[in-house]
Amino acid sequence: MRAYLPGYELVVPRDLAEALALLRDEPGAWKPFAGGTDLMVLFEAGRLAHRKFFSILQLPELRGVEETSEHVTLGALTTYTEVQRHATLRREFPMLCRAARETGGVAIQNRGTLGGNIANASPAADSPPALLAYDAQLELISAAGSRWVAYGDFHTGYKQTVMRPDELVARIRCPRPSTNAKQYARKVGTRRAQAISKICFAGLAEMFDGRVAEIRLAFGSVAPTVVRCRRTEAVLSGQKIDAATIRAARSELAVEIAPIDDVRSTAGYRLRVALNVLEEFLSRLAANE
Amino acid sequence: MSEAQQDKATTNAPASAPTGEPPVPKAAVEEAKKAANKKPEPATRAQLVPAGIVGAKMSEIERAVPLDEPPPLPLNSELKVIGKRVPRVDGRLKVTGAAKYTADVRLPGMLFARMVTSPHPHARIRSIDTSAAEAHRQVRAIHILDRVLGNAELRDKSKELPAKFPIVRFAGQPIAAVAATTQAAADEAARLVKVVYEPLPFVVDMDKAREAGAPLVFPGPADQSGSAGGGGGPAGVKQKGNVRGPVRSGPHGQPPGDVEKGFKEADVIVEGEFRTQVQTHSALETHGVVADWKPEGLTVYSSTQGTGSVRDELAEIFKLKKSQVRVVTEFMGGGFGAKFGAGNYGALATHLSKKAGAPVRLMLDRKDEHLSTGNRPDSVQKLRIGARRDGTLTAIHLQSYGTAGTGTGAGTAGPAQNMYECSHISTEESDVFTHAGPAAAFRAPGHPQGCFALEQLIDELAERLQVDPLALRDKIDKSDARREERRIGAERVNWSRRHAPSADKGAVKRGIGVAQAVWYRLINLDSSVEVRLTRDGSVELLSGVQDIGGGIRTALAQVVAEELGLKPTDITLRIGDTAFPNGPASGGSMTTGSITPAARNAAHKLKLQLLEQVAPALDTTPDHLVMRDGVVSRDLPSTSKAYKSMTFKQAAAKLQTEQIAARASRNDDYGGFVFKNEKDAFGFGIGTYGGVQFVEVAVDTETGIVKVERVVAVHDCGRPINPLALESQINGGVLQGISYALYENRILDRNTGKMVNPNLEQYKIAGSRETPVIETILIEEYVGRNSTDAGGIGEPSTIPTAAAIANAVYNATGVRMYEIPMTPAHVLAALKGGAAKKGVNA
Repeated sequence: MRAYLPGYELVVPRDLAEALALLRDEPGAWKPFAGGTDLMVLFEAGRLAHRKFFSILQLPELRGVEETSEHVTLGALTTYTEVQRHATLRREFPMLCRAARETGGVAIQNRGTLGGNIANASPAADSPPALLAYDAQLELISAAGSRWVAYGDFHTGYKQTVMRPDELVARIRCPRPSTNAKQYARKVGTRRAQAISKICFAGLAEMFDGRVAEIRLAFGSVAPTVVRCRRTEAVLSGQKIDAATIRAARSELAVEIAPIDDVRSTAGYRLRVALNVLEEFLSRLAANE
Repeated sequence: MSEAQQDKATTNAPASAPTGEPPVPKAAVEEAKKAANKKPEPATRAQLVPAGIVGAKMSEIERAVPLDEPPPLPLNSELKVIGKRVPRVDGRLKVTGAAKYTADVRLPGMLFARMVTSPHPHARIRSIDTSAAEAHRQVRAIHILDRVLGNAELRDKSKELPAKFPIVRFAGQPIAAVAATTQAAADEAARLVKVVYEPLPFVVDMDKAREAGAPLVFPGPADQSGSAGGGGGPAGVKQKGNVRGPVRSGPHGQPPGDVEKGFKEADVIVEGEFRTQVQTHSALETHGVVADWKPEGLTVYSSTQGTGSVRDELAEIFKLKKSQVRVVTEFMGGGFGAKFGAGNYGALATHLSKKAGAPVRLMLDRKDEHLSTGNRPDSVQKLRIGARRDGTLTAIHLQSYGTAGTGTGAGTAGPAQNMYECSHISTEESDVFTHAGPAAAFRAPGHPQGCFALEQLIDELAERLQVDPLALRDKIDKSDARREERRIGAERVNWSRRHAPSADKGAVKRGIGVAQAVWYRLINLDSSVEVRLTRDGSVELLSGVQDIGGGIRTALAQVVAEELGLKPTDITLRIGDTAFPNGPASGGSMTTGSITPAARNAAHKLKLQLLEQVAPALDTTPDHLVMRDGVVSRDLPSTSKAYKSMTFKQAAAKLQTEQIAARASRNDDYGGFVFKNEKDAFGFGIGTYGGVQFVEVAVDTETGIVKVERVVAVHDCGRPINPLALESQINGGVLQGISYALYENRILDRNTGKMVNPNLEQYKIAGSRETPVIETILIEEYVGRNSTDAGGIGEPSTIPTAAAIANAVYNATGVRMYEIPMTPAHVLAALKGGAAKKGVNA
């Protein structure tokens, strides 16, 4: 049953400084409310335990996409729709655009934000595997200042992150991939839209002289957090891709990830399909597709 | 339709129609004769009516019709309005939001209500403390249910310890409701009602419920009334533990044939065990009412498929005269069989309105909807078919179990009994009680399940006999309509390019499959219409019949417009209100076939009255006049100028009184019914009808994902009144079938008895991205039953889809799917030769 609306509080800070002050003065008491696409689902189901929220959707400091020769930096409030429409992102970050396109429906994409998708820390979120494969960094800000952390180090456990209670995700910075890089993303959900993934994969690799020069593999929905599969990457690094390396990579991945049974899928299915999807990516690399 | 009616449909034979169908069972004929003999023969005359399939085989047959029956309608090709693609007369209202649904009703002083439901699947209620809720300053009334509608009830009440409150038999069972001045306050106050439960052992899994020693849902035999609430299998069936049955019957509802003899005669025997899941109706609009109790009577705005059945049930519960209860359903957002009765919510809202002295709105949320308003029972079906080498079927044996939760009516034998010619048919259907919400009639009760098994096994038989699946069906299916549908569909889908199973080399494998439907010509004689003409030329139609989305409002406008020579938009439609002449409940695909003949006959009578009055002014007699294109004239070519004519408006202006009206009710079918209960208004017309669907799929063997790429749906439903609306409904049936085959699944946690996915986030329904190319083809089949000869399409259009997808998946992969939903995990496991875990949406 829908939760009792008068039981909730939502304040709208005038600017970023006021929002950060709120976090500083009562750490843990207030939680940010951006697009609300996750929070409203919990609210509707009567399961939104936290009661005090402050809106950040109106803060211009957290918006916008900036480009340098090295990086593309996205404000945390960048929506999935904005991601899909951005020319540079479409050209150089197709996996992120694809994730944005496959997240929810149009209404969710207009409202949901990249920063929210990250901070919500769901292991089943769609954009994090792509961000992991792009080696993204996050800017976390507080009244005390700002710090950058590698996204690969951000998640520490199920719905746990390195963020302090007084911090907000401000920006997401991704190095621009080399034009030689091969990118491959695949979401497997119950249906083709408006379905949380059973598994979600993003892979980026560069080949040099027939060997793997650089490879980053990331999965969603196969562990308590979204994961970079560094051990499987290590198995592949510097190797030619042939039947033997694919077999070795599959074996390594099988022990590196730890999917579970839940309402959306089974551990067995997730494992089998994760291995199939990895093999599909590696076969394409080998065929130089 | 209710499951009880369904039972009649499947256990009483459809007899042979002019187009050739299963043979007339003797029992049914005797029954029909007996029924006919009891009544004095009405005065009739002989009339030639069209019969057969347009484009294939047409003829005329002689029917005995009542003396005042209108002349037969010619074929659609000769008509002006009927058979034309007419946009819905209320389409604009709907897309602009001007159409008011039940949830849009706002009455002065209206209160909002919320139900209190049980979190436990099985419990005795020790106490209910409403004091905290009563103290809430916005609360106006609280009511505790003393009888739960929908659940089956013990035949012998003394088998259970007396209880102050109804025993809880499923999680989500309504217990009480609270009315307050806002919805938020009602929600909050509902949480303040303190119910103390004594939880009892429960079982929610059908297989477990069948075991000896399983917790009992009822401590003795129980029956579910097949009343206005929908659902309900036959009464008085024997019961052991939770298993109620088997109900045994044979070919086309006769006593079981000698299947053992049949299997001895067989050269080939195929068999399989098939499983289907529980599907919830999930109509876009949830169940709900606005109840307005006044000293002089009760008015209820209800999202219902039966204004009349809701009125009858509320009158009974509240001991009111039926004339004191008015039920209104102006627009309705879907029901699929779950919305025939007053419902617990309707009874609660009425009690609250009575107590509070104010109108009360009670709309269910999606969770209540999944838990307590009905569902399609699951099934496990052991099916065995024997055939001679030439394809002739010698034996069909079906053993099926299904759970309708705390209800009954999980039988699946309709297709096995009625689709194909076979001399030895034996079916044994059992219901299994579980601690889950009661089932309700759901779009062709039992038939998508039965077809899923039957049509796959027929395909397997074809493979064993090394004949094409269509050729085998041509041999064993006596329906001329389906024969024509197979021919047309095979041509459209280019069946000849269908390859051997699993012929594609890549990871994605494609295949084509076919399956067909069988349904019954059901009629509700409680179908009356009044048509009025006022001196300004305006025409009104009044009937209690409700438009549940199928488009009967437009069809009625077409029928009246055709008769009066007008346009559909010239007719004002007033329907969905028990203040008007009684209309049929909309179920069993019987609305069109029941109400359109009444509408035509009423319009015809009105026409005769009008012509009688204007004929002198046109220097002739009524029998020489016709009404066409808004003009009353002599029945002569329009070039003829020798005679006077006048417009419809001019004719109306000549009325001696301000208004004339004519009323008609549905008569028996021409030639009577095959079966007709004396007790109620339902009749079973001659023959069956069907439909054939072809499906193309792509199966991704890396992920197990099945994608339906194209569906060719070829259907018949008598005379098509509005092909545009029929196509919409076929599209809907196909989509619901795809959703059933691949996605939908009510999952109950066997440890807690609760539904794991009581929402639309995790209870997946096919969406726009899953929608394939759907090509619908309607054939025109005339049977000469009544003055319109039309029928419904709601049910036939969803019956064969899941089976056709399964046959296509087999053609793609060479692996047969014995279970739905065909989730990626099930498919992947089947491809690897294993079975996936039960009870997950993998």
